[in-house]
Amino acid sequence: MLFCGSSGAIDVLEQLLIDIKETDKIAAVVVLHRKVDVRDHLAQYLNNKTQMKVSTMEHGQKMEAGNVYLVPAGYHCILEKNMTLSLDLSEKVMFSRPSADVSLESFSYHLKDKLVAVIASGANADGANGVKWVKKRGGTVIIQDPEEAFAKSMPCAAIKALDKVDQITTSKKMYTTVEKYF
Amino acid sequence: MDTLLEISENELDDFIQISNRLYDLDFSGYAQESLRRRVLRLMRLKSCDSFTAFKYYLANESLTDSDLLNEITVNTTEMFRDHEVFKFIKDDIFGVLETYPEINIWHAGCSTGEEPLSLAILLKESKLLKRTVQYCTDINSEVLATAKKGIYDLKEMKEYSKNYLKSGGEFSLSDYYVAQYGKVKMHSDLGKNMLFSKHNLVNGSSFNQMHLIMCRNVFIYLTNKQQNQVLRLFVDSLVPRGYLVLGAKESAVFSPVLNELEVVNSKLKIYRKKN
Repeated sequence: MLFCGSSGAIDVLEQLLIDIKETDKIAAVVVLHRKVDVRDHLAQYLNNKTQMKVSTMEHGQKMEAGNVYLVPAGYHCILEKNMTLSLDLSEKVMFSRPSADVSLESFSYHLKDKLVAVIASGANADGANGVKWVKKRGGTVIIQDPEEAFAKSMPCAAIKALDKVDQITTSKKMYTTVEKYF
Repeated sequence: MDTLLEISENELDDFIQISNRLYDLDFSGYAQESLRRRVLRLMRLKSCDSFTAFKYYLANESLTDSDLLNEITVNTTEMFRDHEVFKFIKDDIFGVLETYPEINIWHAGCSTGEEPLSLAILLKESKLLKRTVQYCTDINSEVLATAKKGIYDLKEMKEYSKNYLKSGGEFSLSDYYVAQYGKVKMHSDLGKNMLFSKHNLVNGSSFNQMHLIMCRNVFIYLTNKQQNQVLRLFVDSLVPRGYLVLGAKESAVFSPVLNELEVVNSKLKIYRKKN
């Protein structure tokens, strides 16, 4: 699962992680636009809330089920063919690094229909291009209902970019929705 | 990303071959996924709607070797990026460097020079700059030309100033540059003992004994095999008890060469050569 969001998305992520029951089925990578978190507070906070193991990822780590990998601020995250996670410092995309567009394109390239992408609250249009790639390659796109999102732009842009969204759902029902696709 | 361009694995191999034959550039050791993205980006920039069109472009257009190198490699850098690293170097490493009559520092993959300048400022404040030589190398001669000039965008300076202070800077970053027309020119005394040279880490050799090597966010673009090779070069280029600083999110734990280093700070990826 690739979870993408910006302002207002942490609450959605938290609820989703609390709700995850079958941890051996899911590996999650989280792209959030945020300030550099040198003391790693967010990973520690979320780790205490969920049965999944949450950490800030490092370059070269193997992606494994039961883990949630937070992409560090200031880097893009891409997936290698051998399922290791790589970091990349290339140009910002949609004024963002990490950028959801970058990760969505890369992860869908290697995971095809195995990828479930979640687009949550956020105040820009990052992710709208990326979800097109996900759909083209047979993956699933689940978008937070803009009606309940703290910032509507990111979910709205993603909905607009696609002819057909797999699911639009609230944060309370996010996990039960996601679960169907694993 | 208007059209959804694709490039297959075979086409990527093709690109590596073409760059080798026609451009004298070897991308075979470049991290695969990063390379795929960079090639896609270049295809879009040059308005090629297929790999065939891109191949034609590469074979016929007047893209120079250095243009191609510039477009594929990533040269992102900042002053005082990861200020904790600079703070650690100032607080914990300068005291050791101080014991040497002459200090050799190597910035491997220095890009446009922001990092050597950041260190020069801290060295100056610790009264170490005059006896330090900073070797600044990169594979890309265009970024080296920028580094030599020491001219940067003024709009970046606000963020750099904050990070300078968090790195333990004692004055104000603006004491080290003059600003004009939206640009800043760093004071020339900072660069007096910097030597710039084009150098390929993957097949290059050791050129001096270093007390400190900084190579941050270069390993993320190398395959495991090449990381190993470069790490070997670094260990061979360090004096006994010399320091190596990698990127804060780069773990090189997969290399056997790491046995020849001790971990000084695992979070900041700071290592020290064993005796």
